[in-house]
Amino acid sequence: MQQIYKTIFREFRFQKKRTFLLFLVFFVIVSIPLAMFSIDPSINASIIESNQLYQLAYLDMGFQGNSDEICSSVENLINSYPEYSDISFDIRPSCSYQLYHESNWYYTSIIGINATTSPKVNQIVSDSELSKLQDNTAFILESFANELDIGIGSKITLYTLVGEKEIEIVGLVKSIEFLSYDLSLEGAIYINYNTFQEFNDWGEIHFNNVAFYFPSDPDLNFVETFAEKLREEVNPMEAQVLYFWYVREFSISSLFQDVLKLTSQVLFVMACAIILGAGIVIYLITKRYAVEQRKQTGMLYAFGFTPKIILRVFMLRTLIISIFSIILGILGSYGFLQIMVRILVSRWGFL
Amino acid sequence: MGEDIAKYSDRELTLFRKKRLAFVFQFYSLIPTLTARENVELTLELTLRKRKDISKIAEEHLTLVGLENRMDNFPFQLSGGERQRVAIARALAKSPDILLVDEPTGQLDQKTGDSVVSLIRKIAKEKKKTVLLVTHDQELECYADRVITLRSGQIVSDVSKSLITNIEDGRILNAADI
Repeated sequence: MQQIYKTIFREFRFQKKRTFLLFLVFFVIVSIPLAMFSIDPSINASIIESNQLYQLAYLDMGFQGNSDEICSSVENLINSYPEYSDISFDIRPSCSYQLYHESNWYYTSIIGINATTSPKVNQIVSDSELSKLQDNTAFILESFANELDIGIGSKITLYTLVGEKEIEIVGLVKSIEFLSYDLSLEGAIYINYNTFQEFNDWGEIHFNNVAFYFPSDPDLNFVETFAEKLREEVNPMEAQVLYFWYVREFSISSLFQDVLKLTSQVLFVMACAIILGAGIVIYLITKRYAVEQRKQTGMLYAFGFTPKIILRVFMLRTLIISIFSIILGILGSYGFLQIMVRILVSRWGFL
Repeated sequence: MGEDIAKYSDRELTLFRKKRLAFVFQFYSLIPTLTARENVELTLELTLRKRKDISKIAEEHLTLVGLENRMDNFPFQLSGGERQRVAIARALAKSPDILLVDEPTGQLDQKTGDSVVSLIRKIAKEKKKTVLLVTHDQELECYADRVITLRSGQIVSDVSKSLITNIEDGRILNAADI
């Protein structure tokens, strides 16, 4: 390598502090925003239990009426279109309930699920077989469990008109159906059909739900079209449909949009300050470097180096630092964001 | 040389500096991130292509200025005299027609300064190079063949001397001594 170019790399070695500062500045103003808004990884990256069943989109249809007729209509729709063949559904009873626990009342949804198959709820951390939700056992929304300060193996007491019943917690759930308790102040408990039937009378409001699960990442249009067809298929005269559905879009950018909505003004001011500060630092570093290099530039010019080569060397140094910091920064930011997502997912239950 | 370089374009001037001039600066002006050898090679790369030739000539000139054991040291590891020697080796290595030397003893003590100027003269004589040395130190007159004195930018005297006739054992002898 020519000695003139060797000076570039030696600069990094001899000026570690300044190189690091420049790297850091590029990292902050280029890499993190690039990573945040360009990288849009699949939500699979943030699934904690990767071996669990997972559906990105979830469609919920509440109804009152004959569940057999609804079931038949839904099956008819799914079988009529090949593109819907992967969609599965689960008819579940549910009720709203006021849970009394350690001197406090908690608004809770109790959902009956089919314990003969793997429960179609997301990301269950459980001691027991997922498909064997025994009588008098329950899965509980993890954030709700945190609020109640209980865990797997703990017991909660459900008060009914006919007496008390102890239910053992056997799994913690992060579910697409429920936001974190911190955000929604709504808890959720999953029990099997039998247990639900036993306590059916407790609930203040009763629903029958059809929950639809999409096995792969469907786009919004796909789910919307399905929902429209579902609306046409289910005869409102046969069942009184309390129909609602939702899809949560999961990506790092959308996740951060949620966070930004919560603290947008503070973050906006912070982002502006960071960009402004970083710009000033870049300007000062470059200016100081240019002044420092003036003597060396003059010397190289005196030796007979052309201005073109001198400029190239000067620019190459900054270019190498910026490319290096951007690539490394994006990778680093990606990892950093993954960790943040996991923390957010676990804390706020975005899943 | 009979050429009016005032009429040269920037490109021609750059070429002129590259091929025919070399500089030794008061503050050495070595690249701090390159070793003594690499500093010499830096200027050689302007005129030579072959890596082998460049290394060989750089080593020869560093040996010539007595730095054969300091070739792989960085400037900050060298003394002022050694740095100036590297600067001299760097200037002479590319074999210029004219060597421009600016206050070569300005940063050096008397003894080191004398040895540096003596070295410049010795090598210039051996290699038959023209040396244009600018200094405030009147004691260096004895090393010169011609002394032009400037005051406030004006030439006040221009004396051709044949005082220096021999160098023996590093001691400068002038005509009067012989």
